[in-house]
Amino acid sequence: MADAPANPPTSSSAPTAAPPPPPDPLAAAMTALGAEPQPTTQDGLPVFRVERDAWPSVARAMRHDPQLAFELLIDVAGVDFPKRRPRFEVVYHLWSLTWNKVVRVKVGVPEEDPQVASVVGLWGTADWHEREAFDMVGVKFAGHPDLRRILMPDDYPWHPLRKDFPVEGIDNSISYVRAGGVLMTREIDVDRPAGQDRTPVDLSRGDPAGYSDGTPTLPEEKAK
Amino acid sequence: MSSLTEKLVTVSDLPPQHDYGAGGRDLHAEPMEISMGPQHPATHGVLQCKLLLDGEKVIKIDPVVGYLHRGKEKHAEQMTYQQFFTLTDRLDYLQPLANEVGWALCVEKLAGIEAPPRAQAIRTILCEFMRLSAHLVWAGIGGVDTGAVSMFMYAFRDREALFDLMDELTGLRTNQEYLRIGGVGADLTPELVAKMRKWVADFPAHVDEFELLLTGNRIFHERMRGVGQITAQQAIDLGVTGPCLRATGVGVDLRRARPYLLYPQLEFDVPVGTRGDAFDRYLVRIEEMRQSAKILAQLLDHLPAGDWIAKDFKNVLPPKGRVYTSMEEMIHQFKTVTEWCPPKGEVYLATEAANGELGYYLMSAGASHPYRVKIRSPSFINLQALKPMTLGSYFSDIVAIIASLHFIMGECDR
Repeated sequence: MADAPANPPTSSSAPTAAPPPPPDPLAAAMTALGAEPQPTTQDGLPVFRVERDAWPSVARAMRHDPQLAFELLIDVAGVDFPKRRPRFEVVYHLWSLTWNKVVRVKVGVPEEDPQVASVVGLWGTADWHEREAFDMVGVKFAGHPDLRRILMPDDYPWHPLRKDFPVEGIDNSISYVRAGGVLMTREIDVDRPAGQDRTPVDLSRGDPAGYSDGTPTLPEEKAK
Repeated sequence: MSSLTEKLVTVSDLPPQHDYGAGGRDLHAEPMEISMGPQHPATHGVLQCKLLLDGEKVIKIDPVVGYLHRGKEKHAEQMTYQQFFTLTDRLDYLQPLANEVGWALCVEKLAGIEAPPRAQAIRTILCEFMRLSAHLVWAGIGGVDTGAVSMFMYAFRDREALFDLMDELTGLRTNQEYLRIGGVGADLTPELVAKMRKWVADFPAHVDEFELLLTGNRIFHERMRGVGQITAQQAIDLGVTGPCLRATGVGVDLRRARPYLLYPQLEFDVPVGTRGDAFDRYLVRIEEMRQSAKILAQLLDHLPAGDWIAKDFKNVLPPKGRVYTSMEEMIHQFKTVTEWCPPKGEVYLATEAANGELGYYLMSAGASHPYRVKIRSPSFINLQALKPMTLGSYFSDIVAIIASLHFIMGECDR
């Protein structure tokens, strides 16, 4: 009795089981390169996570392998997750004109050593993209020929798209508000003694606790 | 004496003379540094070009952007999804509604909302009108930049009429904030459709006028032909999209390649160039205007009936008229404004804007405001092509190249 049902389920389930989905050549090729497939999101794009050390070789293969042929780098976005390790994420969107396929590749970058290999040598467009990611989030791109700030002034000391940067700005960038009172800000800005730090930005603004009942938020979203 | 011999200068010590091939007759001078902009009228806003000139030839160019940086991506993290429409308007301010369409599609994809067919059709109409609006300014200003000042009057005649149509539809000439998540803010009336049809019917003849002014104009040819040439390979490497990429012969148009709205059902051609110079960029845009008029005629003739905003009022703002008269809609309005949260997730969605691929990369943590918004602005990325286009050309060509490249600094700097 013990060994009677041991065989039938396997033999009977094999013909009834749905045929396995056709292997996705992109996912197979990317996995072979060392990229880790991630669940797709609402837009249905294939998502891959690549280790920081593997990124240069993966990027080279993605650009030059005729099976992949991602000729056009659409976008590079730096994202800050203050409570996550590694803290930063660089998100690349690549487009293969040959196969008309867009993929999203994510590379995690730790806060202690915020550095990732530059891909300017593979896609010339990465030049300004990487300068922007450096400017906004503070991720450095090793091997970039001219890594300067691009949108903020050259001597600007902060990286404004980090989550701990207040939307109102920091320090003397706001001093004219106190002098002239022309722009409307919160009252605390007007009375703040010189040199005192501004109140940290409320990351849960617009979503007080429990308000959006049941909708999960990222843990780092609620922090601060 | 040793002190005298030290002052002798050998030929190899002289600064190198730049040789530009056939340009052996060029006069060379000491390289001169010039800052063009950010207040130069030909830099289309606040672009600064740090130039190094050898006589009249450009030997180095460093475009400096960021003078119009307003931190839209940072602001987006503090705003609700519906509020952010206000800022998308001011990206490429020549085509505010097209920017709104991109954002609306992006948020709808995230939240799984589908706009009804009539709203989709109205949005497609707006996208094409906005392409025309942007191309008309390009034609007008580009004409001024290259010496055909009367072109400005012709182009702006049509653009003003176009804005009158937008005014009637949305209540504002520009920066309309007319899109809603799940639809549009008001219906397109039959009277307005008739006016739009008249505008569209008249327009191809006006494009003929533009062409009479410019296409066969010898001065215009001299200014644009062979100027600012890049290859298809260079353009793809630099991430150039839109008319500037198509002028190099690559027929990539997001309306075909990654279709959205009603574009799969529409008949239109994607014009491509052959040489990738300023004149080809001009020709591609002129033909795009004709194609847009063709698309508009198809849409206005077969406008689907029905709702213009999704009836899913748990997720979508109800029409304003009903908010004031119906209790239920008022509650929905209140709840949607104050506590609507789309699900957690990520979306990258791009539309074919007048200058190229306008994409929004939206990261949601399930809160009422986005976690991160990255705007992939075509003006910013296409501007990188300014370097290969201008190097080795004459100083005055920069103006023609900027005119043909056509970027909007509001979109570039965000």
